Amino acid sequence: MRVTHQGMINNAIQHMASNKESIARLQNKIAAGKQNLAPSDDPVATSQSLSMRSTLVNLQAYRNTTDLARDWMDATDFSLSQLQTANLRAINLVTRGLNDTMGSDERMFSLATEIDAIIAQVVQIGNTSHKGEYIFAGYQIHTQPFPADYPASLTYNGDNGVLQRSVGPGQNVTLNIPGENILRPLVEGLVAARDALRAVSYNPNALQTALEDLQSYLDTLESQRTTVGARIRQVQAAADGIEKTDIELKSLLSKKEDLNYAEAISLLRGQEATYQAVMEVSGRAISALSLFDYLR
Amino acid sequence: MPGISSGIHIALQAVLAHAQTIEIIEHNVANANTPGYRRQSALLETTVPSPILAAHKGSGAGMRGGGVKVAEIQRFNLEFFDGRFRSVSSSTQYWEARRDILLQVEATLAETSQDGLLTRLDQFWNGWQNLASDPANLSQRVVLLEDARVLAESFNRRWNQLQQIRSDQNQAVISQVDQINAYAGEVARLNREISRVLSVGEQPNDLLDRRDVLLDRLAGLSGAVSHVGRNGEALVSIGGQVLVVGVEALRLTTRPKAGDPPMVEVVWQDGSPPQVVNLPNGSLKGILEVRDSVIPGQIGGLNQLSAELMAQVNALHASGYGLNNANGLPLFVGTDASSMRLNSVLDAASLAASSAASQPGNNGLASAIAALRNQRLAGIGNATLNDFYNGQVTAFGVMTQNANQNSATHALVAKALNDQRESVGGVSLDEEAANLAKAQRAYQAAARVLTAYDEMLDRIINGMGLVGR
Repeated sequence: MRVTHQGMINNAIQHMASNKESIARLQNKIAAGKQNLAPSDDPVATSQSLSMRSTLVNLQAYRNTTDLARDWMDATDFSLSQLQTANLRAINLVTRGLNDTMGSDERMFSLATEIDAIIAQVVQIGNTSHKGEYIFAGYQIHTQPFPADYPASLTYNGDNGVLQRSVGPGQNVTLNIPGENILRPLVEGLVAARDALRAVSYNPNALQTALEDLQSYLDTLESQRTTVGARIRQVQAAADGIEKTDIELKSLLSKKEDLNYAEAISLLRGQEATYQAVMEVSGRAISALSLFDYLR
Repeated sequence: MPGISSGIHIALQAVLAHAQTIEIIEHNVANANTPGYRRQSALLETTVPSPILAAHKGSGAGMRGGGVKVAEIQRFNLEFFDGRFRSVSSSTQYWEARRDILLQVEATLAETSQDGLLTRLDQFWNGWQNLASDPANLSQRVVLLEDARVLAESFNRRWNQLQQIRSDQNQAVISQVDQINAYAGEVARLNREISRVLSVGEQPNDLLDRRDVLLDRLAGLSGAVSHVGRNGEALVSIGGQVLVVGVEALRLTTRPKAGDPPMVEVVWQDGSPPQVVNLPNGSLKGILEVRDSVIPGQIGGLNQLSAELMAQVNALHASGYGLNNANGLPLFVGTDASSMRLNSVLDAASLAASSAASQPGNNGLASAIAALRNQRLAGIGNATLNDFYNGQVTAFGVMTQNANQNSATHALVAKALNDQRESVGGVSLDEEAANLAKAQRAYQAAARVLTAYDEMLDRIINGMGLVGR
């Protein structure tokens, strides 16, 4: 093939340009730390990494949800344990009241007054708020569920709303326990006990009934705490699942998206060496002497 | 015996022929870098030999040579390569035009960056998910409103930029049509010159070079094919319609496209009604295709996505209740990606999260909207909104990748063909130097012969008849 000067120079320029383009591409990839800079570099990988990234962002929201749900449930569990303590204390008091060696003054004043205080405490627990929201009020998280000035009769200003949180696609947990079912039997039991203690004539039968009510209520509370505990474990399991998926997805995404630096830098070095060689050769092609320089 | 004057004549012809050869070498060297220049060379041949006169019969054998002349200035070109090169080059330019615009569109959509529409969409869904986990939280609500506003703006920005690229390409169409007209006019003018020069039996080499360059460019722009007739005139046609015939050039023009007003279509100026130009290939076809089908496809996808998103989210949102029991409000207003806005009436309190009035703890609505993220919707072909757009990004990526690869492949073939052309028609300075030395020596020798005759004449004129003086 005949080789012309213009052809040689064009070739040299083209080789330099394509080498420089390769170097620029590698440099861009290294600077960005990505294997693909645009969807057209690898459409399929891009599609996969886009949906993985969506899922990761989604997981972030679920993680948020599990954290918040966990806090709320912990607050509920703590309130229930407080109710248990109050209940046990009341049982203790009523048991002492049943002892007929006790004088009626002591029974009427010291024991009944203490039960009164427990009632106030129980109502207060029923009004527990978590981050400014009442946890025993159903949907009415902004409304104090139990008026503080008990005891006329217990009114409940909340509703039976069931707060649901989704901790994963299609995974819902119930957050709350509507307060009325918890508080009303306890408060009524406590009132019965107090009234029995206040009775002018010692009435062991009434006290016995009140005691049994309160004792059976211990079981109710225990079963509620068990329910909350089960929910906490559910949320924890969801959170663990999210954590695990998150790590797996991130490593997959990294394999799909992230640049293998060692490889890219070696390629860049190789490309640079090629470029130097091209420059060397092109320099000769362009400035090369022609026969004109030798003919005299 | 030959006469002195005929000997001088032969020597003079040789001097002139070699001088012309040197001149042609000079022309080659001067145009070594001129695009489209094809090297020329002087074809030397002997002049017609003269029969030997009767008087000299028997003095020697054969006819007497009359010296040398330049028979023709040959132009080195591979005509059959031109057609192949032009056909490949018009495909190359078609793919390159397509690739360039698609890369622009890809950069605009920026889907792999933090600014991608999918990222914004995910943020929006997360906003609802976060609101669902804490439905009465005001700061969560403010964040969500901001996410929704940013999402609407992302749609608006993409729509506007795609339209901008479309109208830029429209300008490119107009300017390429002007170029085609200018080149066609120039080809017609050169046709006239070339046929005139040929008709008097001369070689219009440089004019042919110039016309070839123009024909190359016309092929790249419009996929025009050309055919050179007997009289040397090139017949140029685009998609079977004649663009240049003889010394006449027809004109292309643009007119507003029906139903797409700011955009223009390319039509033949003559003809009633003017016919739309059927472009077989070339950059103009690439631009028109991207402008009229690829970008509208992307815009259509954006519109479909935003319309479906608005329809779904608005229907749910309007059925819900805000903290202040606001009800019946859409989250977004507008109909498509360009008109989509966050409903300006909404504030943090009137954003609906509850599915019933006066239940601040109820997250039913926020959960329902957050669940839309994973819902397959019939309106967009049973895909989730994310998948729908993801599919669009992927399809577009494949299209761009395809254009990229095709333009690279065609460019390689075009380069190989051009190298072939160049190897036949290009100027090699070494070759010219060698030819120059050859011609120079021949010139010197001819001049030397002339000197010999000069001395002979001198002897005859000044040296003869002086005997005994």
